[in-house]
Amino acid sequence: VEPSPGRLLRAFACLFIRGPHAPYVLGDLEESLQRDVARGVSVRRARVRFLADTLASGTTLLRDGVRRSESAWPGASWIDVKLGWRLLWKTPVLTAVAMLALAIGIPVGLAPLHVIEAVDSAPPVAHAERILGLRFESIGRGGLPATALDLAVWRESLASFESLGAVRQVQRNVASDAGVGSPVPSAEVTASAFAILGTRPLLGRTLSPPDEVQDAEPVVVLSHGLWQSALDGDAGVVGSTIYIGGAPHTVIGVMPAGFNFPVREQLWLPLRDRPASEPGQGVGLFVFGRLADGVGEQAAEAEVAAVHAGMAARFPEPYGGLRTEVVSLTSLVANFPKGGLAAADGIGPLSLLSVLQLMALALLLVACANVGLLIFARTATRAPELAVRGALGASRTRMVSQIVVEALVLALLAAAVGLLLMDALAGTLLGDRNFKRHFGFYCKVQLAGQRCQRLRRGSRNRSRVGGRVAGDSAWVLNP
Amino acid sequence: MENLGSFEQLVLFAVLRLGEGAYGVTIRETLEERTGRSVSSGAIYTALARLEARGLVSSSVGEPIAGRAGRPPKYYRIEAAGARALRASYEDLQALAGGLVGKLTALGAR
Repeated sequence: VEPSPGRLLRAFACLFIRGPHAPYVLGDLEESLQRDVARGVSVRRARVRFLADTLASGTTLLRDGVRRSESAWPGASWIDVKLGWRLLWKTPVLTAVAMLALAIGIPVGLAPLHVIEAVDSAPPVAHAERILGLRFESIGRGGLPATALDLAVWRESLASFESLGAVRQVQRNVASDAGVGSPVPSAEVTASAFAILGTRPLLGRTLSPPDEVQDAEPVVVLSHGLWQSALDGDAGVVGSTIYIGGAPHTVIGVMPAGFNFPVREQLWLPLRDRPASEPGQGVGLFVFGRLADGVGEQAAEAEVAAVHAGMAARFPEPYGGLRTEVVSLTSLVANFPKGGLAAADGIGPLSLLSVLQLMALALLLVACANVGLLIFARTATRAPELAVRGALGASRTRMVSQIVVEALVLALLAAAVGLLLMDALAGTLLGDRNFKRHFGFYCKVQLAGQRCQRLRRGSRNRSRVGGRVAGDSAWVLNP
Repeated sequence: MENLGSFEQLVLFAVLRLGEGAYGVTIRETLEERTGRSVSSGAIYTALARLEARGLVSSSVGEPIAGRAGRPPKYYRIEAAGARALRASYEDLQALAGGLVGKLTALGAR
């Protein structure tokens, strides 16, 4: 049997390779495949080469066709683009109105996705997807907060997690130099939390297990922001004393800028909860951990379910009607459903996200329909011009493609304006200043410029010599 | 004087080497075997079409051969103007490059 590229590949090649050289290139591709196989290359490998050559040849021919303005696809040409550009200036009012409609419609259409992406993103730490939270969930009647006792049980029985930690959000007054206290969002965390997140301190050290002992010396780790605002970025802050909740605390470390775990906290105190004697007693905690190497999320879920079954058998109250859910860190802290905000209930089978997005897209559709109508009206006024062209021998395809390309010029331009506007809006609304104040640690606005900055930030390993670090400092992550 | 790009020179030398049997597949294989470069058929045809438009090569569609799904090959031949241009380019290169290989080796090229 003669080897062949297969029907699908052949059809793709015929579609993708266009222009005057197409028959020869296609013939060459077939022959090359035959020769490869005859040479002893496997049919599979030869087909991969066939596909690679199809893609490379197709793009080369297309580029060549465009460059010599003799398009590979019949009908349209560069002249249409030029005509479309000229038409923009000939009907300035229509251009302005259409641009306005799309420049507003596109950002509105994109906004829900942007907001949700920004809120529902993993914290900026190494391998954040391997950090998972544990919580009790029941269908219908809400969950039960995990406590220090649950943490102790899980620590003892779960092998799927490298280590487990817990955090609780609290408010603490921090006294300034003038002696005036102001409430600061704070967190009580286990020492293990810092190791799980993998973020190293900018100055000093993070919490360690001895700090968790009940009567140990009161210590605190500060955020970069608090260090700058309350202590004026004093380089010798480690070892000094600040008053938190009226009690003196020794500063043992400062975290890098941007670290506000779990959401927007400014200082970290050791969590000194002792496991209660009865399950279900004690103050609620967010419990989370990093998966052990080689353990997948499903394996962890299976183990967690088994441990829960054991707990429920021993203590039907309160564990009986519950199950332990393994969720992302974001879902845990923000109390999103398992699977993130996108899985939040909306109307019927649609999630909240899709409902919002559909509404926004409907608005974009209205804008598009209006622009379409305007272009239709403009085209109608050109009936005499088109009639003359038809009489001179222009084909229907030629005229239709001209109108389409002209509209495309307008649309592309308007889309570019809309996207730039979106970028600027997202930068101001969702950017560092306002949005981050509320969503802090989790806010990750994915825009071109900021993404680049993030990458640059990642590649640069900042030294931490000297106390003062420029405002927007790097994340110092463990390797 | 006709100027030739480096890829055009490579393609012309391949056509010259192949003589009567110069068409897409053989040109591509010659380039791959002798230079180790992997080139797409599309790139070869666009280069040859440019050269043909300048009158440096000519082409003719041949008889169908087996294994091409019924599509005949297109054979290329170097024209006199093409031969002159290729020779001039090659001589220019030789005149400039003569005796410099040692220097390149000294700079770390092997």
